Amino acid sequence: MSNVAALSAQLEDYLESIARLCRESGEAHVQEIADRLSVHKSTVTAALRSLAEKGLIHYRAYRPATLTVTGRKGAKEGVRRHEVIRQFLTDVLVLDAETAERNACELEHAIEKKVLDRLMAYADFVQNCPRGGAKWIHGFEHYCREGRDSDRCERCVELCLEDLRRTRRVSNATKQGESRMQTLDQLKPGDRARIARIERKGAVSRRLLDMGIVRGTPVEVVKVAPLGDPVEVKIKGYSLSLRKAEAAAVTVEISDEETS
Amino acid sequence: MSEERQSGGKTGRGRIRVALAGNPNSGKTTIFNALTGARQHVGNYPGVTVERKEGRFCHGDRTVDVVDLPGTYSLTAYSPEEVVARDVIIEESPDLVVHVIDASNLERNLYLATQLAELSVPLVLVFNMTDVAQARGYEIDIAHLSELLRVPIVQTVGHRREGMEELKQTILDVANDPAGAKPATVHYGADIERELAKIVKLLKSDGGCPSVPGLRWLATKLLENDEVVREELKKQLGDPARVFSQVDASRQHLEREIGDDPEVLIADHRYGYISGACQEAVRSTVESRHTISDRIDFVVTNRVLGLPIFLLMMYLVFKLTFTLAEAPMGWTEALFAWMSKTVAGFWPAGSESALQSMLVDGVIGGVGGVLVFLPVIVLLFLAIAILEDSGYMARAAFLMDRVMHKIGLHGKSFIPMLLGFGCTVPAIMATRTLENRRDRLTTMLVLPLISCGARLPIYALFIPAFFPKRAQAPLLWGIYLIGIVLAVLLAKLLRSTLFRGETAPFVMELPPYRMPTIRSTLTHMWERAWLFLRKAGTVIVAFSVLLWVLTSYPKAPEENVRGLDPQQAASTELSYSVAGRIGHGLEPVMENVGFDWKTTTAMIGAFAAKEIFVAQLGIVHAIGEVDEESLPLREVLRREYTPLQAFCIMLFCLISVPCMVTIATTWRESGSWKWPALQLVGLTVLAYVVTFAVYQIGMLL
Ligand SMILES: Nc1nc2c(ncn2[C@@H]2O[C@H](COP(=O)(O)OP(=O)(O)O)[C@@H](O)[C@H]2O)c(=O)[nH]1
Repeated sequence: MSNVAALSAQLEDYLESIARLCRESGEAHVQEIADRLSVHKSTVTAALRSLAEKGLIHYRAYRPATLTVTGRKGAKEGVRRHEVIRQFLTDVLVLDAETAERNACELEHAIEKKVLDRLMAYADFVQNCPRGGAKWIHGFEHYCREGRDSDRCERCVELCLEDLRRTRRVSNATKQGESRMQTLDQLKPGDRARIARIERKGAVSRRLLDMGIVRGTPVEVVKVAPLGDPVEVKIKGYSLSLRKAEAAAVTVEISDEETS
Repeated sequence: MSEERQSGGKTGRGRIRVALAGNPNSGKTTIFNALTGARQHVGNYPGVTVERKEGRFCHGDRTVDVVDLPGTYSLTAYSPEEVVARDVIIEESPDLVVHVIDASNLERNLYLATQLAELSVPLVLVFNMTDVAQARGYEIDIAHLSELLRVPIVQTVGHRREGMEELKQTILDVANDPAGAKPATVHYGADIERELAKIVKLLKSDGGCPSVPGLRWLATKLLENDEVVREELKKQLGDPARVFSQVDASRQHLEREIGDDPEVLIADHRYGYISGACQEAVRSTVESRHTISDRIDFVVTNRVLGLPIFLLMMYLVFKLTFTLAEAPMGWTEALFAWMSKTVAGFWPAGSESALQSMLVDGVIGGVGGVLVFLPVIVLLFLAIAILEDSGYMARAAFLMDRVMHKIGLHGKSFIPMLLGFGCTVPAIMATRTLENRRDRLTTMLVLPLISCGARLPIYALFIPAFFPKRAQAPLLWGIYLIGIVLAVLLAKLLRSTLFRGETAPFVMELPPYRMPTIRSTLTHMWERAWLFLRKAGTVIVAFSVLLWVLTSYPKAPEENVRGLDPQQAASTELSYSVAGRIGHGLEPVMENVGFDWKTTTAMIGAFAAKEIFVAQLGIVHAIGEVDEESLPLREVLRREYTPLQAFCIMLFCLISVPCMVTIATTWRESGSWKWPALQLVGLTVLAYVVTFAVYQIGMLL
């Protein structure tokens, strides 16, 4: 581990790139590394040699490089650090992907493990605490753009409580094992359920998605056509018809809340 | 061209180009008409049968060109409409896109907005049907929603033209300052964003990409596995293999990590984003689960009442159209008869001028032949427009899909098939409601087998002449039934050969019932009737003149007709003409199916319109102008043909050679000569084979 810690920022970047290439194709060619880091091939060769000396990679001239066991460990640590920081920048600070990527490259070499762990914990907390969550972060994005806007605070807190109660109910229902899975074509007129999954089936599933049949959406079967085939369902406030064969590709979850 | 446009937009002088997008039934056509008034141009997109409508309006000192995109729910490659819609935005790069949204159905309508946003063109949202939304108790915080989505929103009520001035002003404002309408795009979550970033990076380093829609859009489409974008990039990229291997790796990675197809994940995120925004900005004040529309639907598509109501509606549509059309058809015929007489009067009596004959029999006869159809066509279109605007058309498809699906077609094919009993021409034009090209072509090609009203005179002439009274009605039904059975069989055959492939999904919106407005119904009707006249009319006139030449030239030598009475002279002339000669020439072949040269010649003349067959028979048999009630003609026919021959003649007329108006319409609607040619040849061959079998077996018995 010690030789990894002592690496310069550049060499760390090299190690990470090699690790990613190895994961994708088993080995890392000099050209690929050069492309990834936007540097010249000769620079890569020098760096590879230096990594090989430290026992982090297997490398001979004109041959692709692979990681040693130590190298793999070091790279994993580096990649992890990079990811944690990048995710923090995009998911909590709602920066765009490019800025996040660029800054993660810089920060990962400068940050101490203790701070990193704290960042991770904080991200987790913000994303999962009922007073935080995706909406809260969205609010932060709004704040970054428009500055302070306290008019909506009450409404926001209300929504937050509503959400909390809803998730409680759903998770309780799931815990008690009261939800059942079925396919949409098996429901009777009047039955209500929630979309759980869509089986991929070419044009049909694409159309289903476009029409709003997505995970978590409540759906109600309204009626079956007189001749027994297409069925009519209500979803997102409008009526949709589909054949039973098409409805069979949609798995739904029925919970007690919905049937009552 | 595009450079000019862009620089024009910047200086504030040139024209503004606007593309109008939106879901079907969102009131897009209404908004388009309200914006552009009468200044419209309707055409077709090259290569596909998707209509292209353009219009223009002036506001302040600027002129705005509007192109109406086909109505779509999404911008995937699901249908030609969707591909056309996004191609127009990408290739013609309008200054802004106006997206018409049904405000009473916000979530599904906004789904298209999230995709338009990714194309990085300035966007304006029109919240139409705000009256309906209000009635349903939705309170939309427009200012807040506009802020969340970062686009201007204008509220309108289309059919009352409310909000149009504001919309025009907003279009101008955005065109002058596009920066104010850069819509927010959906954040697809860490995993997808990471893969997108990788693909974008590769696309950027490749450099061969088109710059217009933006790399992020391309990357998203690649992740969604959009075949059209992939094909396009394959041609344009320097090293497509490298990009595609990353795309495939990313897709696999996402499937493995999150356990779902990226296409599904992306749709999830889009709808998630929308429902988040709606939760913040929309409140529902009334808890009404059953709207008026639901209650109407409860009766109209009821398990027990649904089908009887449907049949009653169809009966009414038919009865009304044909009863109402009778009078104007009579007037049209009278008008053209009068015109023929007047024009003929320009020449001194008794003189046989070729020009006179061409004008009277060829041109006026031809134009008259087209215009006589017009009342039926216009009325059928009126009926279709009412059915469509009220929302019943979708229910009709819903009711009949089970049956139509059995023969490999779509529920929406039923109405055209039914209209076919009236007249094949509006029936073919009604196939426009079919989204899927294979379904549409199959329906078009088999439609002539549905026995149309113009063939009824033929049966009315032959059946009473040859068959005893108690056999007459069953025979007539039998002929119609044969047509239907053949249509079903042929449709099945086409679906399993030429148009093989997945049947089109029946995932279809059932729009809420609405009271059709007079203006929009009349506009729809007028548009179609005009299209028929303009596009098919010219071809039909040309064919009429050609047919006139065939049946009038060459003239019989003077001595052959000298001393004959006029009826026999006409018969001799026809026998001597090209048509007559073809009739004689085909006799050896047609004998096998019960035809002689006289009936064959009459068939050729009947290409103009089926009902002409009767008149032509009168001429070849030297009886003069007759109709199907003519007793002398029945007398002659009974002398010359056997009942078996009579049946075969009717059978052949039923199956073979659709009339030229049908052919011309099929040409216009399918966009190529290939399909009407196939229809003509295929049906004639089918007619020959079937009639041959019947005649030969009949002879043995
Ligand atoms: N209540 C109401 N009806 C509307 C409004 N705008 C359009 N309509 C009606 O909705 C129907 C469908 O409109 P149309 O423009 O043909 O929709 P398109 O399919 O999107 O082109 C027509 O009958 C219109 O009169 C509106 O704002 N409010």
